[in-house]
Amino acid sequence: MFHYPFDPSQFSETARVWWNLFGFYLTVAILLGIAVYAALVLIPFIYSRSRKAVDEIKPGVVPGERGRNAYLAVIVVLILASFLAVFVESYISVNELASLIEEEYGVTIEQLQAGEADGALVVEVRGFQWGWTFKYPNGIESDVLYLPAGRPVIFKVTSDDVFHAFSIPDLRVKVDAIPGQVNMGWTVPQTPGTYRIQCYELCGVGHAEMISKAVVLPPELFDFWYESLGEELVVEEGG
Amino acid sequence: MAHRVLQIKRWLFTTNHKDVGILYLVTALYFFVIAGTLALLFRIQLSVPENDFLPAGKFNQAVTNHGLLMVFWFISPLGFAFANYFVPIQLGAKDMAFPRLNALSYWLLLFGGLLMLAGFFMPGGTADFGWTAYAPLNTETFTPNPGANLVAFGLLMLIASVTVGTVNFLVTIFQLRAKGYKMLGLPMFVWGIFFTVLMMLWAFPSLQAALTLLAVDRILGANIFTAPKGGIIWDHLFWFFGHPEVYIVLFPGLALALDLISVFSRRPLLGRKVIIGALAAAAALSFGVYAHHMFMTGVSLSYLKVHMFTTELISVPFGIITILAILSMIGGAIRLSTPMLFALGSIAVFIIGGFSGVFNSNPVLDIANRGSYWVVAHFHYVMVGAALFALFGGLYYWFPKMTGRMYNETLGKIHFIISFIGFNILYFPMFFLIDMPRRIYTYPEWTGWGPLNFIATVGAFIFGLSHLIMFANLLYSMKHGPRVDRNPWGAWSYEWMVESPPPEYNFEGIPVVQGNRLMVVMANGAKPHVELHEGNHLSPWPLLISLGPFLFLLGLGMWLGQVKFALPLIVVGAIISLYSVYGWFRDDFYERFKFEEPPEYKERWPFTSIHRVKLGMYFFLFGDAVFFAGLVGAYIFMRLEAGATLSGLVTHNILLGLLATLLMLWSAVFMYIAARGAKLGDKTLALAGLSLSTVLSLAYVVVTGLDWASVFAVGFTLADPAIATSATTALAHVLHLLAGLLVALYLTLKIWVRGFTGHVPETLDALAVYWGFLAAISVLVFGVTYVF
Ligand code: HEM
Ligand SMILES: [Cu+2]
Ligand SMILES: [Cu+2]
Repeated sequence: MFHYPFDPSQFSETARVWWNLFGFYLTVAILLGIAVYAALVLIPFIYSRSRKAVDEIKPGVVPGERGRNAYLAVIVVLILASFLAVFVESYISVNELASLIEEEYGVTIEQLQAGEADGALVVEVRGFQWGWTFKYPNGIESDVLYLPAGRPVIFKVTSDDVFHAFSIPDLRVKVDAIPGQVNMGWTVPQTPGTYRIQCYELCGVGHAEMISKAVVLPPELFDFWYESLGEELVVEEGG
Repeated sequence: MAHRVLQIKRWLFTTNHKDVGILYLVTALYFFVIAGTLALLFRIQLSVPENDFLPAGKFNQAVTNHGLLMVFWFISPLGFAFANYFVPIQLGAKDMAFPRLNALSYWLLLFGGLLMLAGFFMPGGTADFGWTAYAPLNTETFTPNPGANLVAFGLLMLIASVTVGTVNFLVTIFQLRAKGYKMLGLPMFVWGIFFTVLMMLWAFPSLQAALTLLAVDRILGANIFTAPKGGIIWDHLFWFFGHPEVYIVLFPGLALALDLISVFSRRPLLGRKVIIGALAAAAALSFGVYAHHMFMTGVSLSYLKVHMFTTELISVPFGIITILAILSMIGGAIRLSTPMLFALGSIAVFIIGGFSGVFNSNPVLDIANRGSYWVVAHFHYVMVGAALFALFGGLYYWFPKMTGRMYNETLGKIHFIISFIGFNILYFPMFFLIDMPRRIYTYPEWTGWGPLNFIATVGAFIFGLSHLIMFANLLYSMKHGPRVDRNPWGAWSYEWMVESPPPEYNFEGIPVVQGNRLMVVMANGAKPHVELHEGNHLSPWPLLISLGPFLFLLGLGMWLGQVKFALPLIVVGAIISLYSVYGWFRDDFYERFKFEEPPEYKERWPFTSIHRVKLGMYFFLFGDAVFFAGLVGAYIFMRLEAGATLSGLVTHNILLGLLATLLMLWSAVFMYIAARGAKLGDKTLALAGLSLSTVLSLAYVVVTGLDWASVFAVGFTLADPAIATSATTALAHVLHLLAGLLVALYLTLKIWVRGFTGHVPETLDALAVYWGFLAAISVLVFGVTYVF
């Protein structure tokens, strides 16, 4: 089992988009952070020793207005600019997440939202206090989630009782399970192996135990399981 | 002995803003210790995998109450302890605009917190659904724990406290500034409190609406949140409140840090006006970003993008504030005293907190963050880090002013260093636990989360215990510290121009501002202010009027949990409540205690000619409108989204509804006439208006009651969520009206017996505004729930 900080991009398409974006944000944060922290540490250090320093706070006098000059404007512009950079990049990535699957797998965003698409596997996920069941189009119900590698999977997530959050963290899938409502989530798993499924919304005393497993199989193996109506399959653990 | 009695009486009955500030301070720190202990308990449980120190149920109760107590009964009240103590002085005022309401705020807060704590002692345990209390987990079906009712009641009392407080602070800041004191010249701390109360004004009523609906579910057996999609309503109402709330927690501390940085680097802030503008922008934006807490709830992609945009946008004002705060120090003669260290520490952790917030603002990145320890790290960096460090800095800063003695500087610095290091050991590892769900009581060994959790727990103990140094330092120095004069820091604002501790009415003269000079002038050598208040300002009613509901709600909660001795408590609580309302109005506090400062001594822009009672009423109604909007919104949501198919036309008799609305409208008209009468000094007109209005209002209540009786008579029940939400709205409206009728009744009697004494005309004027508001609401309710 891998852990953060780590690169999950090989596990699924959503994880890949996530990782690229995370890297971008982290870079911006570190660069800006270094500059800001340098100033925050150096300025007090220098000016607590400096002899030329001025004392402009006088008891009973409202401090004057300072900084009606260009460099205030520069600060504002710089911050706006880095905001815009982050925004544009993230906007593109949000679109990317939706359009990626359309370009590569021919499944449109409308189909995703409707929860039905040719070529994609649609799994109905039901959360309850405290566990998950997974239902496949051919009627198989299972409490282990078997998924084919390299094929889009759509999750139609709902709940029987309270809010849960269905998540396969390593594949970067997370969807709230809400009673009375079906939410869509999707991914394209890439690497066969066993992954942790866990609930990410407090749902009562059993919340911590709401763990299951997702097994990503090579396509042939998945088809074999799927056709044999979901008999318990022995796979080698890995991944 | 007599002295001791006097002391007790002083603290129980005080209405002086400085005493109230001290009470807030002690109470906040008390809840800090309790909530901190809870945190240490669950950190022990999490320190190693598969631990069994706390079982799941207990763990969830600890987490839930930790969050609620820290947010509502510690950090915010700590900020307001200073606000109570120092905002009036910094403005150049003798006290708050409504001293008695100020004491009321305090007692409601305290008793609300005690109700919360009482939940722990109920058989079956207390609330365990997290501080966000997601529905339907929070309903009776899924959380039968009787203590949960007490938690909800405690929160309702807190909301009452906050509402009273916001109105009070707004009127104070607008109308009690020293003559010539421009808003822009106020210390940043006052600005921080100003924006905080503005946000509170609009945010808390949304929580109030959510809790009201929850109470209807839990107590009257309705079916609002358990209905399909009902939980989504909770999400909207809670986060519309919840996002502004996090800034409400932050702002007092952030603003205070700015003041500290300026004072200790001996430099005016760079771009003061820009900073004030940025605070304003962040406060305004905070109401338009809340859906970033709902990225996974299945909201549409375009909605996500809008909230992603606004959330990222909100980092711009915060970025500007941070950068300007840092650059302000350039060229100054910086002194790294304890308050300054805390202020800088606050900015330091705020930067990490802010950056991690920007990560959350992206729906794609949030796939990992949501519900994980990353978010836990994020909000502790901003709430605990930024807010708490700054406020502790304030505690050291103002300690000499409040006690007249200096704390021990070395111990203060040691406290800072240890707590700062402990804080980072505690929370930084959580950023690496991005795949660990929050609020799980344990985790399997193979997840590999053990070591990081262990480090965090070690940090928790370092951080938690480090505060003992502060407590020891301050408690010792209170008695034995070296004495200080007025202005040990060489700071500029008004509180440093008066003695330490300040005299009872703050100034021995009239505060006046000329240009940028703060002054206290003596009128002909006399001390006009001191002569003005001959009466004493003690009043038992704020305490009693809070104690009554406390006992009542405690009894009600116990009764719901089938605990013995509930009924006597309910009865006693009800009696005290009613009697103290009567006593409150009987006691002519404002006439007895002539604290009011002549308007010509005060700067009141932009509300120069409006009386403070009416101004307070306007502010209150601004907030109250959000409450009704929340309830009506819930009904609309039920009809549109959650498939409650029966329209009001089917269930109600539209003619009865029309009649009721007309009665209400006419009642408002007569109340207005009564107010005119009072203004003209026409006793008959005022009395006629008042009594007609009262009769019409009562008729309104009766007709509405009949209408609802007929709805239930044909077999509709609260099990239908549309019925339940609209009935709640109607009930809330009627209760508002009944509360108003109490005041109307009192005014009628008073005018009849004594004529227009004291503030009667102004109160009546404000009451007419209130009636107008209720009439408008009744039109809205009619339009929405009868026709739609
Ligand atoms: C740059 C500014 C900030 C941004 C962009 C930001 C963004 C966010 C986002 C998007 C979330 C939702 C994360 C999730 O649940 O998945 C979040 C959660 C949270 N933020 Fe911030 N935030 C910022 C500053 C603050 C500040 C200043 C505070 C408080 C003082 C704060 C307190 C919180 C809290 C308490 C939560 C979690 C609530 C919960 O789920 O219990 N944030 N923030
Ligand atoms: Cu759960
Ligand atoms: Cu938020």
